[in-house]
Amino acid sequence: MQAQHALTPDKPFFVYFALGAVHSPHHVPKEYIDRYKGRFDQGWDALREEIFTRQKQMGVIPAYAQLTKRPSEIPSWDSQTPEQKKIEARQMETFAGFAEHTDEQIGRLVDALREMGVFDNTLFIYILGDNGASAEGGPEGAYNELMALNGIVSTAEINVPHLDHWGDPSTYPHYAIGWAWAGATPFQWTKQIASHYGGTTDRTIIHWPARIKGKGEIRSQFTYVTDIAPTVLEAAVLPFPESVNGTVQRPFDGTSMIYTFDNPKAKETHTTQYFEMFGNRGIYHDGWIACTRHSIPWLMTPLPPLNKDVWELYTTWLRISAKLTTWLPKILRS
Amino acid sequence: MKEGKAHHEYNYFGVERTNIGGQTALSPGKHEIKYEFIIDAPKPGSGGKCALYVDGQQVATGHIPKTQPFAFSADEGADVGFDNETMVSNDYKPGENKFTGKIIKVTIETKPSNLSAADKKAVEDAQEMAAVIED
Repeated sequence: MQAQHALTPDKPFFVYFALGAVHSPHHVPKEYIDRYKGRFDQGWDALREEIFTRQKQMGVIPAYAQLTKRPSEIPSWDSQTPEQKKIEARQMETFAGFAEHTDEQIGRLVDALREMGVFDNTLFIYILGDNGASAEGGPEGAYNELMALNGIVSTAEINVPHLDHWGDPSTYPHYAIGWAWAGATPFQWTKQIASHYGGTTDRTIIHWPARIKGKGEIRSQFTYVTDIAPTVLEAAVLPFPESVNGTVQRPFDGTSMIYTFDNPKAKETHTTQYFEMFGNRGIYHDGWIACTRHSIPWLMTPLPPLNKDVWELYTTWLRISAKLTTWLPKILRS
Repeated sequence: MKEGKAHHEYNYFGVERTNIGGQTALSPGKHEIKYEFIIDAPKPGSGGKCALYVDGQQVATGHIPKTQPFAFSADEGADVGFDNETMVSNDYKPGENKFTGKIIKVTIETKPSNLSAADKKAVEDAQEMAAVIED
């Protein structure tokens, strides 16, 4: 960044800093795991409630929001044996340490921008997560997540011997499904279940003091990852490239988010979005969400035909999220 | 090569390891080292017989109880002459395991797997899953 800026100080520069974090394997120096010792002993059910409460306090979700129940396919924390709880708590401590270590590295990026004197006029888009929290570690987590990839479910018997060095290079760890469900709060489900927001949503912070007047504000307009490129181009005052090296470009799927910077209540411009993975599919349109969960990542049960999937319908602008049964099937079909 | 002798380690997810090795250090000069794995049953995950040959002579043999059925990794490649990223064996360290001799040629010979149609599909599904998960 410094070299780029020194050579061409009048031109903006673009950095795409892509990290492995917080995708598995969860690797981090032990001192970061130690910082979270005991912080997750209460388990994933309690953690989800705590996160939900904090989100309300921060105003990230409305005060009247109600939390959905844990699906029966995810075990309760109370059902875990003391041995399972011990190793599972360590898994979440490791994940948290991993996230904190990552955040510190982002901090170094920020410090460098400050030293260069350009931080205030930098459009900084910070997204940290893994497509929604990942439930790919199995019901008890995995000391080596490759076992899950090979269809082998890890149990406490396999995991517990690695308790003390969990997260170091001799492990390739992932956490238990319950933690992913807690990490996806306030949404339902987890990564891969693209029908629900738990499978598609990561928190995003946008920071640009020179351009954004507000501080610590929230925006609720629907946005999607395809909105980032248009945002960057608009910020840099660059036109959409109609042709690159002679190849005509198809238009962006997303829209710039800059319209929301000055106007918290602006009418949203990204009004339709389709999601799909492994038959889990959904569509957002003008404040409505229609979705159907077809499969569950960790359950290898025979799947129904796609046209037998049960659809759910939600609105984001009415104060009800329960499935409506009378006039909504018409909307769903449309 | 372990202390100058041909050596093989099979690492099953870091949970089980099978080691076989020759008894005599190789003399300086050109040699042909062959590793052979003969699967017990045409099924993913099946164990099998393993053997090492130096210049046509069998120097070690053993049995691997089970093998990783579908994948060793979703993002790590196979190395020749050194072992990068995650280690197969704990006998050597990352960055300190480069082969000090010269490798002239590596030949990999496979035989038909004779997997059932269901098993073939299971392999394809696992490969697709691996590709998706590493996104």
